[in-house]
Amino acid sequence: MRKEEFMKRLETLLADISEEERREALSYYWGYFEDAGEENEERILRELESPEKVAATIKADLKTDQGMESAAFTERGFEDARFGQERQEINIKDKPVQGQGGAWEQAKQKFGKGKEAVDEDRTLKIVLIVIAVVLTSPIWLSILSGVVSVLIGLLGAVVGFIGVAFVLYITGGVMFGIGIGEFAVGGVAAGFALLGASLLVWAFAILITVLCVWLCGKGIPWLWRALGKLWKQIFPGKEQAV
Amino acid sequence: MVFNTGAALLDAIVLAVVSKEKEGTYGYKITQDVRQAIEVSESTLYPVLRRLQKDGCLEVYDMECGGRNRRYYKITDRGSAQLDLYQTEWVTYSSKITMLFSGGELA
Repeated sequence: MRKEEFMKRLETLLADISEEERREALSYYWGYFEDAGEENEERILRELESPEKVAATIKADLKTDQGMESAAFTERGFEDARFGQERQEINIKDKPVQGQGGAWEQAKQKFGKGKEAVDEDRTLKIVLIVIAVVLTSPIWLSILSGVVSVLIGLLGAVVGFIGVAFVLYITGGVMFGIGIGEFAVGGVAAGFALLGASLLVWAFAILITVLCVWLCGKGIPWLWRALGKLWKQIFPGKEQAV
Repeated sequence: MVFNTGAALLDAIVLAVVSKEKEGTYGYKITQDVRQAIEVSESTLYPVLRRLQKDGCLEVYDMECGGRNRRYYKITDRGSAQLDLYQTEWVTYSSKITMLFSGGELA
């Protein structure tokens, strides 16, 4: 595309703005091409991208004058905060300017709009999260019930172990007593056998006791912490409800 | 460039560039000068210049140059006042950030 073609197209595209604005814009770009010289024509045409883009930029600013303050001109051309990413504005407002609104007012209002958009964003996020939670409830409800049953099962196991250990201690004690009795009545072999067996039973009882202590002191708290960590990973930023 | 140039900063840069030329300067040259500081596309500055002109920060006049009229932009008193304000704010703003980056204490 040559600059003549470009300008012709631009003129057509600007048909719906005021005569004065159109003349201004066209004479600016004509002058721009002239000043750049033939040798830069191709580069400038490339950088302007298209008459459509240039026309959109011009029209967007005219609309800004009529109160569409969320738009901004940046080094990347015209950008509208409502359609693109949130832009970080330099907030140097706060001070009244002697009699000239212009950029100050515009930037101030733009800043306000940006905040609003963030709030809207947050609300949308919460709604989406709620929907996701409801939709995935079959999954996480079953996981939750699984976790709860594992915890209850562990608790049951601990109680069971304690019971077994208790019975073994008693059994060991009874066997030890009978063994001593055997010695008294002369049954040395039976006595030794019973004493040895009672010691074995006690050893088992002690093993189970140690297991119980470990489960209560380390295993369950570890499991609890792991669950807490998992919870925090799924719902970051919220305190664990324990 | 990682940092965005907001509308106010872009206004300030354009005003600064134009104010350097006592007799005024023209669109193509302004774009080239602004580009020494920040990356701008060729189509960015027309709306900015037009807006500054409407706000009364810039005035325009045509002067013949090479057999045609060239439009010149010149800063007005109002534009100078605006530029002063921008510059004051910029010094505060940038020095605080520089201070923060270099690990110093804010006054």
